Amino acid sequence: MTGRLLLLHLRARGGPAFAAGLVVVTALAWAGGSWLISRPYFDGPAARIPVVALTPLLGALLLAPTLAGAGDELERGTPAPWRHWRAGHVLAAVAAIGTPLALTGLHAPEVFGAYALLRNTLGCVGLVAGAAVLLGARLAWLPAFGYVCAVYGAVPRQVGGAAGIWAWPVQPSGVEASWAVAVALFVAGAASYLWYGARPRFGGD
Amino acid sequence: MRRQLRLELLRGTAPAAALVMFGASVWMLAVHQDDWAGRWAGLASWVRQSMLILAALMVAAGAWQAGRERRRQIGDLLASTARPAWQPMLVAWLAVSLAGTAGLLVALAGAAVLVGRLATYAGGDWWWTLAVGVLALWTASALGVVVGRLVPLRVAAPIAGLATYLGLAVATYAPLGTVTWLSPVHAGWGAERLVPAGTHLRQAAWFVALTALLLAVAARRIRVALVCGALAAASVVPIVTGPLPRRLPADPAAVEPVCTVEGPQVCVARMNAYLLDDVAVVLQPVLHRIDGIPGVPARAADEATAPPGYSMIDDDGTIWFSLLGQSKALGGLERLDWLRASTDSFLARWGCYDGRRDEGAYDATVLARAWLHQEPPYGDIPVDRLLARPLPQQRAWFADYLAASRACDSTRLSELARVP
Repeated sequence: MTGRLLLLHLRARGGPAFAAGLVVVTALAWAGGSWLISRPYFDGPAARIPVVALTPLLGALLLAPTLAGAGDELERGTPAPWRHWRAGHVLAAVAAIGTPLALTGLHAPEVFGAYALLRNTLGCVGLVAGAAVLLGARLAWLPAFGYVCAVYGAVPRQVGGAAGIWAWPVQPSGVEASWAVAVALFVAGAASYLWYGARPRFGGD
Repeated sequence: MRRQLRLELLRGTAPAAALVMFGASVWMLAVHQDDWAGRWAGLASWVRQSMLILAALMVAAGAWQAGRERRRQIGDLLASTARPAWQPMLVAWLAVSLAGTAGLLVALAGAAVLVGRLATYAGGDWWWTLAVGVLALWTASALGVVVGRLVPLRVAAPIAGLATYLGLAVATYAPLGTVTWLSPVHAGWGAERLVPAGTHLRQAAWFVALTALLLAVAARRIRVALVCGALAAASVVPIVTGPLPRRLPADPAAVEPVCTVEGPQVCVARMNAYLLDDVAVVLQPVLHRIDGIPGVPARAADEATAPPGYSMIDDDGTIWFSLLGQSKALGGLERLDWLRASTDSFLARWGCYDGRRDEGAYDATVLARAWLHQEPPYGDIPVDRLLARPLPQQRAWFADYLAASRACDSTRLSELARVP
């Protein structure tokens, strides 16, 4: 019964499209990372910063539409333990985005490799899940997209310190503050999502 | 049509597009002040460098606007009206493009006020660079319209924006070739470099033809699309067979030296002349301290004023310094330590290094640098003892240091490090 429910849930939330998108994002991360590392005029594995900043964001953007179904009120009216389902949904999504992305960064995983990809997956998924509670699933992508693009565009030169907090998506993985922010965002976003769910949609956007 | 346009500007995606473009432009201006502060050509070049972000945002805005019919499920309703389907699409695109451009221009107007306060050179046809950049934004929103109409995905807008960013970034990372001109993004060459007027015109033709092609594809007007495609292909030919973006010529008026009239000579390029006083405050005391010592530089000059192909490594009696990344929006220098490091370059040129660290020579060099900049005493470096002597004796010490350094005399350098 649970297996059938799971299949129905995944289908209703656009699971196949999410999975197909993830395959493309993973391929992009692998190809982009390998290309950047192989350029003689860049500084090796540390040149993967665009991949580290943007591919977890792409994965989290793909997650956004899956955080609510087509009929929010109908779903909430069913006698299912929705908090458990939502918790499982977010945790499975983090694993689904983070694991393949981290695998693409295993070659020299430090600085801007597997660890940073994992950290950014946590942070971006947390931002998207939290935004789904506040803005609804349709616009859940907006804060993560705006924030990561703004930080990436700023190209902060500082490593650690205040930049370790506000520019966590573009910090080397060794900066502890960046992990603290990403984990805090994930915990806050996931907890608020599993508690409240995505904001119901009223009319159009 | 006017009423439709007004409605789209007020109630469509346009206000959000204007706000996002304004916010993004202000943010990018604030975090990259050194690229544009005090230079009109730098401001125009900044717009083209920021196309990486701004064009991506316009693609996202166009896609969001064009996906509206699908999101609102009013496609059938619109199809039942007498007006051809391409007309509302064109108006919606126009509204987003106008609004996005307005957002950018308002931010640029603020920056222009700051640049106008400082700028000492206004030439260089920089407004061509800016105008073609605006055309490229309109092309980007047309690309967004195509994506929004053809891709039935809820997150088509942000993904299209990120994909545009990645595509443009890859093009930026690739080696510079004539194909680079097909991208709206400039690779960040110096503000003194002149892009030929013909290249601007060819780029403008390319972006206009591409915009027409994209809009025709979005409107599913196959014949028009074929004609526009042929025009776009034709506009590519003169670009890929035109001049390379490498080794762009410098604007002779922009790099003309402007020098101090009193004290040791310090020169900067005309486009950097607003920094002359700030640079002179740092460099003139250094030049004054070493004045009269045989063989040392007697003047300092901005690297931008060096003739093409000139080697600044040669011992030509000049301290060369770079003002790249030095400007602040309200005036003044961003990194005094970089400028001081430039003055130390002639010490390194005369130094002797055989791969082994010589503590005596190292201490003497640190002391020489501290003396040049009159730094306060720190560690074991007896700069206060040296500075306590009369200036002629200090200069004699420095002359001895340079002679010993040139001769790789580590024994003498060790003695000098102790300030005998």
